[in-house]
Amino acid sequence: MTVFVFYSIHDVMKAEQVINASGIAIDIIPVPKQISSDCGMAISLKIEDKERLEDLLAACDIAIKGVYRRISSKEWITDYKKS
Amino acid sequence: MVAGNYIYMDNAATSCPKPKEVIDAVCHHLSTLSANPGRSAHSLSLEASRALFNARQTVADFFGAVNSRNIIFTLNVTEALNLAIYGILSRGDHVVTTSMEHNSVMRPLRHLESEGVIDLSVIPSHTDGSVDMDGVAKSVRPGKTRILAVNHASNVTGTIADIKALSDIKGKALLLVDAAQTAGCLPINLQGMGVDLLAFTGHKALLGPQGTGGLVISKGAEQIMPIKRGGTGSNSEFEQQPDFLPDRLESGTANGCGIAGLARGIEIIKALGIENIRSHEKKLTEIMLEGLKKIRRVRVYGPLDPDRQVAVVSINIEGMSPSDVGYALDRSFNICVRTGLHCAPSAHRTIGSFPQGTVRLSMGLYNTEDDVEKTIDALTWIAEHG
Repeated sequence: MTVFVFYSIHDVMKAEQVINASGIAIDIIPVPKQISSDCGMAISLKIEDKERLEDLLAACDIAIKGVYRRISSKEWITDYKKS
Repeated sequence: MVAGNYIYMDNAATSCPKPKEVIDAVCHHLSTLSANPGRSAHSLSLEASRALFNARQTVADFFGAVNSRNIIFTLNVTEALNLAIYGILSRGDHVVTTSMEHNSVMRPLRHLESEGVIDLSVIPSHTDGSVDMDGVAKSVRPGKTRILAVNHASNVTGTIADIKALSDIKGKALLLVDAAQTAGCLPINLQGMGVDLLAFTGHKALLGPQGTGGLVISKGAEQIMPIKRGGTGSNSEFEQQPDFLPDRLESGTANGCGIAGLARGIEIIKALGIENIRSHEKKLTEIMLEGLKKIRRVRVYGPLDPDRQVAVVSINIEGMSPSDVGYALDRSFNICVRTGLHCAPSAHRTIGSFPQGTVRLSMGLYNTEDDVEKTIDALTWIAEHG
């Protein structure tokens, strides 16, 4: 599973809207605490859809705060993150 | 339209009645979407977040905003104006405004002036309520004037300002427009009109409930600072306010059900077509102005021209106080109007009706020609017998 984290709930909602139109299957989940203590939301999807989603978000001018990958039930690795 | 048994002529204060669709949208939100938006990722919170997001999109589309994140929901237009004024201005700034402004602009500016924060130029408008364009142009100081604050239409005389022309003479100042009397009854496009900050209310011509409104922020005004700080559901690990929009400027739980009603109101206006609403209100204004001309002892203020005003008409009956006229209209004819100074003392000084004020007849989407004719008949009777 890959998780995308955004700067604001507004961006998550906007991302959901454009993703729904694209056909990529996603879920909106609470940000896993291993990633952030933030009480906000993140978008999870299959690893194989990661690049497609990155392209889509770039095209819609929605900034990504970070992308993470789950490698076991408790372990996550950071693909990249921005401040 | 008759609200109950009343003829409602006070739409400049609040539109009444509200469309059934707006009432249904508020009730639907309260009954099914009352979880907290943006605070959790559980299904009901998500639904509430989507509703808020969709409303933001609806408002952004309606006003031609660059991005829906630049829509900041507020309690009313007063809060939006306060946010713009206190969020932009800092020590040493110069502000230009007009003498026709409502106290929602005048009081925050007078406060900052009295505290020695800003230098304020209030340009006297013409007696019909129109902006003295030359006066404004001469008062704008290059590099010094931070805000030019004007109403899109006066709440006293209905006089419409040429916002595009004001944008052309504002120089590097930010153009702050108080759209309390125009959002929902005149077309507004932020980019087309050169507006930097647009403050609107939800409960007048946008047909929404009270407790709704907002500030639309253009790209050039995005540096605006918050006037309140608190929980946003984002960046919760930090004790500092987030710096991105809309969270920087919106703290605490939003008026979810109210905003759902506001969004529905805007959809109704879009479906009807704002040009059609404008021509309906213009027609009512024309009939009102024509009828008033025929009543002896009545003085009408403002441009006396439906093309140059929204459906707001201020009058006085010679020898009678506005409150007596309003009282007679209400108790003898079931006609609701507002009398007095309409929170705009400076505007009344400008048009020559201070301190007694005027009787304000303000029509809306749901008024009919029959309402206007009945009001004219009632005023004729009062002028003859009062």
